[in-house]
Amino acid sequence: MSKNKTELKTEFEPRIIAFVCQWCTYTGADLAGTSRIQYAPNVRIIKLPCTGRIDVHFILKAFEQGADGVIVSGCHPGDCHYTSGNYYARRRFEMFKNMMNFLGIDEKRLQFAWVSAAEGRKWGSLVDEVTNNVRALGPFDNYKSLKIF
Amino acid sequence: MTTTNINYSDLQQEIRDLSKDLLESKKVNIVIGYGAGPLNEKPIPTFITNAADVDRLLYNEHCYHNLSVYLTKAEIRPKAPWAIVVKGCDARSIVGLVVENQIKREDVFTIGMPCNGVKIEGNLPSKCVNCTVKNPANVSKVVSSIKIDSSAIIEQHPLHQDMEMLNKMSAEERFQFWKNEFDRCIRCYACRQICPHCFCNTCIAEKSTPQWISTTPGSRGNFAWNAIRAFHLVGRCVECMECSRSCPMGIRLDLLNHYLAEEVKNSYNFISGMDFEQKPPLTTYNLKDNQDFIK
Repeated sequence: MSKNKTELKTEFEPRIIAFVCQWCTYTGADLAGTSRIQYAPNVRIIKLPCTGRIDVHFILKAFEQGADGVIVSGCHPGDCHYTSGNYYARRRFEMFKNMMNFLGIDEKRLQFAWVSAAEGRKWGSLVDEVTNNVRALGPFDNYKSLKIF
Repeated sequence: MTTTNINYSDLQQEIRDLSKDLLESKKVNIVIGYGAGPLNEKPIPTFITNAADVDRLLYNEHCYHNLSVYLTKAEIRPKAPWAIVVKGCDARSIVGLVVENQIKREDVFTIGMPCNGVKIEGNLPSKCVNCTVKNPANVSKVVSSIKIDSSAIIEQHPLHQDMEMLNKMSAEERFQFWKNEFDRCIRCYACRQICPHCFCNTCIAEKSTPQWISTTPGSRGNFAWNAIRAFHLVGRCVECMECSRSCPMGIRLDLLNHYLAEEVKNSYNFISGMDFEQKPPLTTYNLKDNQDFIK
């Protein structure tokens, strides 16, 4: 019994935080659920109005709070409920991703995606892929090693 | 006349004469320039409101401060219209402030100085090596008829070697490099205070509900602070490098700023502070923007 316990402890399960827009990806994730699509249970979804609302502070905060990977997903270009939020977000995330890469954070831990309300299957495979990538990288010890004091 | 030698006492006299005219004709209420400091030959920012005091204004090669930071400060803002002594690089900051609607273009009279590089602690800073604004652009008046020969631009940026070193590192090594840099941060926020583009009344670092950045000078808050400071300046930073000059811990903020400026230039073909009409790249978009990195 005690042996089983130690085995459970050593197995690493990545913790993925997904910031999604409420119009497309959140609905898409809903569709994945109602369609009974199996995907990795490692993801924690946070719903926001629009990818344009997703501040880069959220992503840093997620890493600080112990995330091993972050997904940011919203409407495809042209589909934004607010017409242009995702266009602004696209520029912001390109720069942010490059900056994080320059600061030494593995690009695979940060995945941006367009998932529409009809793409439940794409959402499932996206989460699976990111989870597998992050599992291969292991826990985000680098960021976790940054102590508060 | 094209020259590389500058007679600073001539320039200084021209600043004084011009300032006197501007103050006496009430075209401006205040002149922001350089004046004698506690150390010989090292001028400090000086504010002149009385035409009789213009002889306090100095100018020499040690005038490295970017004075445009003062325009958005609470003590100076109400004194508009202002006159301000700017080098080509500082003039770019003023353009940035006008573009972002922080100051009105008609409120500021810019006294542009031809500049062949400043001296910081006796050395030519890296920002002066490949300078493209030795003869200032977008200013109200350029002092003197001197034209500096700026054709001698060397191909390689002075930060090139350091950038190459960082690019060759693995992600892990880069992370450790930046961790070592940021770990020294004492969170004095000098980089923020001296930055002309950090004009928010309440900085994100001071917001407490919710608190985005830990205010304790530990690794975690330091990483978040330095990353967010740099990110808030994407497409806005004019690389005046006052932040890295003022950093008491010598953190390589210049490398981070330069990297982001290069990224903006490559991705959006934008150089900040060069054009009154062009919007900063993150406040606009193009339907054809790159999205290769998005699944």
